[in-house]
Amino acid sequence: MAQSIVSILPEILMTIFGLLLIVIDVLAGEDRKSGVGYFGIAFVLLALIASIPPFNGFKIFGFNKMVVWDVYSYAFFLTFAFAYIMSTLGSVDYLKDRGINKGEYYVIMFFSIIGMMFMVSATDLSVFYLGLETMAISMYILAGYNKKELTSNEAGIKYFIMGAFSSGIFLYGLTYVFGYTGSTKYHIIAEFIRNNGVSHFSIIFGLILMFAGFAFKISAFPFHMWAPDVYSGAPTPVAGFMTVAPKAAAFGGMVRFLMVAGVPVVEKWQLFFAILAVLTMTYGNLVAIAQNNVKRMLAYSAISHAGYMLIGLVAANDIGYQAIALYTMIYAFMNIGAFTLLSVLKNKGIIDDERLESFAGLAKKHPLYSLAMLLFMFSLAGIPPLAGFIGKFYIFMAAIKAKIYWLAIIGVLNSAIACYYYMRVTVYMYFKEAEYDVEANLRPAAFIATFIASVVVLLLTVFPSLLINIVKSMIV
Amino acid sequence: MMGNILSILIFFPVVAALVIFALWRSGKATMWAAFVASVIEFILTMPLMWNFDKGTAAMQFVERYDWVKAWGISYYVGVDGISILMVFLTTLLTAISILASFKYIGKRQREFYIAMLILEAAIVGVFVALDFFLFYIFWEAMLIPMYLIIGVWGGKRRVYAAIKFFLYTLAGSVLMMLAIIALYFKHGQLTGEYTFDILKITAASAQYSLGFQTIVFLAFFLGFAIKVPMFPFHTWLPDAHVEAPTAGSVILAGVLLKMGTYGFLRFCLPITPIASIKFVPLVAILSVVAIIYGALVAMVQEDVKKLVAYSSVSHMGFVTLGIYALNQSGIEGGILQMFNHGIITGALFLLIGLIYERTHTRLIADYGGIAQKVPVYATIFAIFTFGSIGLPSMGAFIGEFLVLVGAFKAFSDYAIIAASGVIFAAVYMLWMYQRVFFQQFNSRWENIEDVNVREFIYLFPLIIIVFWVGVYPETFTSYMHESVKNLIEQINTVKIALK
Repeated sequence: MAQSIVSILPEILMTIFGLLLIVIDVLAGEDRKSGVGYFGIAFVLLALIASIPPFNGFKIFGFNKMVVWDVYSYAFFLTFAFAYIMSTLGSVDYLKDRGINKGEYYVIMFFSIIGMMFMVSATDLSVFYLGLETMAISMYILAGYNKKELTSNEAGIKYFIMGAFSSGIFLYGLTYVFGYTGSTKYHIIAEFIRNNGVSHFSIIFGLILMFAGFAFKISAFPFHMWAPDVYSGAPTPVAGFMTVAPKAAAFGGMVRFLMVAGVPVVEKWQLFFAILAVLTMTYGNLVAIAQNNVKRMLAYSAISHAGYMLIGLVAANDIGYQAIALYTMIYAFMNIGAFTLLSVLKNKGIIDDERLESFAGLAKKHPLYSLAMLLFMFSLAGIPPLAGFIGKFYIFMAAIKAKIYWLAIIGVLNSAIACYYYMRVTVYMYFKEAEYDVEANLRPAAFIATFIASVVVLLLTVFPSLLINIVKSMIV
Repeated sequence: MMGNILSILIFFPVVAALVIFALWRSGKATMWAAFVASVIEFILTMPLMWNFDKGTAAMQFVERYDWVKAWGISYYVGVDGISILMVFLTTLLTAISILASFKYIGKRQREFYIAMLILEAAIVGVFVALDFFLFYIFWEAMLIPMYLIIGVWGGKRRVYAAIKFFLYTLAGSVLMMLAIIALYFKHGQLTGEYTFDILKITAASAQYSLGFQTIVFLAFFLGFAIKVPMFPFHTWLPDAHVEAPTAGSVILAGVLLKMGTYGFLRFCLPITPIASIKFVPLVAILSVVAIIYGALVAMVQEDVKKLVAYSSVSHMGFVTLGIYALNQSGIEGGILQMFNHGIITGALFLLIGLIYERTHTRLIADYGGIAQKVPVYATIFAIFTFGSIGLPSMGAFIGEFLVLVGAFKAFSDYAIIAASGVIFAAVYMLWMYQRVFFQQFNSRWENIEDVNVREFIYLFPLIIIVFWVGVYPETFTSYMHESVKNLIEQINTVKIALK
């Protein structure tokens, strides 16, 4: 029993902190709700420090091998924590400006992380599913959080309906897998598959439904339809959070499932995800090119990034899942950085105008913000020496190690295409003359978020080992 | 200090850029600060040149620190006879083009000079990197400042040119990244050591199979051919050149194009020797086509800058032809020609920029007879015109001569056609010179000013070097003898093994 408790120590810590956060929310005055967010950040940092696992193949299973605490789950916890810290900092001013600065916001986001942590540390499908739903319900609320605005309402409802649908599909598939193999535990499923293969209808059907549910969660083509509307409708800091954390969690959980339970039949699912990866990357990029709204452009590009991450899954080797973990960590900084910056760069007169044209001439008036945006854009595009390149490099390394050259080639060509639309933002900022005055009122919190993100993006250039050493010591 | 000279060369411009960013806002202060920094950088290259041991092909001034140990990546730099001249060229041309930008760059000076310094750091990094990962980072990092230089301070179609430049070169090099990763794993499989060390990967080249070499070669080739640029990958070049500000054009033509040919020398030949030998006919044909085609297109240009841009395509054809002759004189000629082209074309772009500042036109038809108003300018222009044509006593002659000697040995048919490119060069350059400087005087330019002191200062070193190389090339070629000899030996062993 003691071991079981230890195995979910990070989650327990986070839950206690989450409950504390609710108390703080109750005690905090109406105008001091931002403090809840700051407390949340402090708590996440505390939990992060308190749950550093000993490295070198450390693994503690609990509850009869239903959950595990290891470096792998810790690496993803880092991603969630980064995403939480960055988005909270980015949210404070955004919520204040819109008069929706409530404590729940931070609490819900905080609790969504606990769901995500369970998804990654689950070694049992039912635990995974519980985590998934905890995360998903929080995300539905957050997407529709700005209830004064129609697009946000739409985002919430759309996400809810589609999300519930996909969860249902996932659960349906799960029951088939359970029915056939007789267990929801990864290692028992693995053993069963090793002995019996996956040629039986039940398991094929079950796995396909599960994969489809997973593809929904990471917004892979053709299961992406909800994503652009939800991402662009949701409050901007939430959109940043949503493009990173839930996606990372879904990846983290699925990779563990596939690498434990699915390894005996790697080539069976490899092709499925390879096709998914190609379609997702290409679709996301091509449609992103056509966008004139930067937020929508980032939403579509978030789809294509899921495609790159899928390459790591297809590679199905150690470098592959390390790459996914590394990619999501880096992605957390650059993408949320970009969304945060976006949320605070506003137009005079027209609120929330994220058209490309409103970026025209920004570099002249606000060289620092433009520089930060330039960093995020080029980093997202994967241009060396910025951090985004390190993530892509690792992804492509995984594909080449697995000798899936064609996928790597499609991947790099796609990232070259992606450069075009990321560059367009810089074109407007640096090369065009402003049509009208652009006002950027960057308040302290958002400024700090942007600053941290830029510094990290630069810092990882010089010291990529900081994160690489963590993911290197992961074992699924 | 000599132990860290290369790191100093890489990071000094970055530090200088940061200092400028932190301390100064006004255009005048930043331009002087940037100029002083670039001159110091150039002076720092001098001890490198003096202390370089010409008697060995080994890498010198090597520095190595672990960087990402988990992947076998290290910060690993060094120079040999092939790269040292390129470092010299980079620091020289950067200092000169910064001085040449004083009047030309009218807006946002601070950003411009910072971009120039960062560009310089990245280019030096490319030429001295001995770790593939490091190399690739510098190789791509250089795109960002160049993109901004073209896009912000360029001409009318600058945005188009900047995007085209960026995407073209990027698309070329992403496949190179895959090839680098493939080499990493191949080397790991063969030797058990997973490393991005270029020298170690090169040393194991004998064990790479032909199929593998071919794939790697093609991936590298695409990246380098676009950078050179070889026909038919050259279309970004005229746009980028014409739209870029003078300093951008000088660096682009003077140094960036050399990164492509440097890549052939440093990677294609030593790492994929069998594939390189197999693809000699392809490269030779493309080079000859570039020489003739570039010259013919240059001939019909109405814009002086575009003319020089196309002439670059032609001249770089000589470089690739020389390199792929795969013999001592060919390769040495190629390297020397890389250097000469940097000096001469750089100077021509400077001269064009200088007159453009006064007249705001680059069309040949707008000029005419200005030699009588600007005699000094006309003289200097004449020097570099002859230099470009390859008149004996000037640098390009030696380079082209060596290239053709090498090419005749290797593939005489192509060499004969290539030699006619020299004549074409004379045609378009002299014809242009005649139309600009002689003929009927265009009275619009009654009050045009001649070269002033500042302009003379930045042109003077180039004039000296052009004659220096022409009269006593040994000063420059002596650096490369051993390295080239070593390279040829490697290739010859492979050739013998193939037979």
